Amino acid sequence: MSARIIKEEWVIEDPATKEYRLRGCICPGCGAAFFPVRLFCGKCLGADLNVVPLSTEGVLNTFTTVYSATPGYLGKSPYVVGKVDLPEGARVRSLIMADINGQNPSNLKIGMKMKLVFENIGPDTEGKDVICHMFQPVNEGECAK
Amino acid sequence: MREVFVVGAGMTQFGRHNDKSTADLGLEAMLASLKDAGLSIQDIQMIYCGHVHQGTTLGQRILGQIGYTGIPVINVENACASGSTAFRLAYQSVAGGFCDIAMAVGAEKMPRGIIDVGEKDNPDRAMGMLGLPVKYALLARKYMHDYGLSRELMARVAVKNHQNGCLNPNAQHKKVLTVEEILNSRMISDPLTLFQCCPTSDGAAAVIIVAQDLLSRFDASVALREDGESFAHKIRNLNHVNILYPEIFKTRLVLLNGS
Repeated sequence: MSARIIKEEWVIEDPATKEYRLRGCICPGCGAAFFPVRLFCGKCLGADLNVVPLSTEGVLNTFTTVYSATPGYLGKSPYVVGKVDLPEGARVRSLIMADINGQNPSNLKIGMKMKLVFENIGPDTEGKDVICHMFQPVNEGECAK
Repeated sequence: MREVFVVGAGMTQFGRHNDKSTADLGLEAMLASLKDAGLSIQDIQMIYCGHVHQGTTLGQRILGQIGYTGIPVINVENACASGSTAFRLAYQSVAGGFCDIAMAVGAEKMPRGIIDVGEKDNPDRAMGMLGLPVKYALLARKYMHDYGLSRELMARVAVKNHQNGCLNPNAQHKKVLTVEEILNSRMISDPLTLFQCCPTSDGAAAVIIVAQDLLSRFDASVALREDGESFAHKIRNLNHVNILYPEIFKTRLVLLNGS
């Protein structure tokens, strides 16, 4: 079965490791960082933001376990959505990989370190598997898949 | 700015109205507000119509059912604040002296379940991140974490809201609920349970606003004043939502002493 990245413009290959990273941007004027790439800086309104691969580790800002899936979701319910703050300053809303078994993932805690992974979230309407960025706790023991 | 008064209000039953169109509901509320004020539609000089998902020119479609009246209509879409924005515009048009009698009407028919927001090709849809309960659950958990708010205390907001519903015969839900009942209802997007989420509703409401000079014509009125500043996203830094500020719109229209 063929697969696709959820959105090509959201990922960039790390020149060093050849691995996928999130494709973000940093304002050359004020240093603010954003994901995804945008045309103008949300802080100083500067243009010509530098496109960069963003850090693969960050801190969990908030999360929720979703029991009533929102329309169009490709994966299985329940699932976890969160926001992760990256060192550059970008806050990324993302799926969170967590072992929930129908329960609230008690091993997820605001402030914990998270790392970027890419996972198949399920086939789209054309039957193509969709590969999507997710975050999971850095300490695998805290929240194994 | 002139002193401004509400002289009429009307609303439909909120809930499911499978047998009525949105325009039917809007007209029902509009006629109820006219009856309440003792006015005819021809007395209305300006209409603001708030709605979100009802297509173009809902206000004109409402009026179209009673024949074209010649009254100018402006349709207002401002997400969850559409109705209150229409109300505020009606207030401003009278307070500013642009007309003496204005109406705000709002009407909506909503599909069941989680509201489907965003474009079909938005990849956030495939990721299950576009639902409003998801968005607000993320903010609620952050708020609980940052300010030490317990689930029980947050549930009391829903207790209060359901109690308020009991005071209105047209409310969709008229049942007093306890903290336990709210917390034990089905989890939608943790920490928000079913009874902490807005129901989807069909319904409409309308108010009529007049300038002080006209007050002698009316039996009853409530004075209205805009209090403080209006803003949204006041402190929205970078791409971070500030959980202490409204996202869409904030204003305070204060109802003063009635007569």
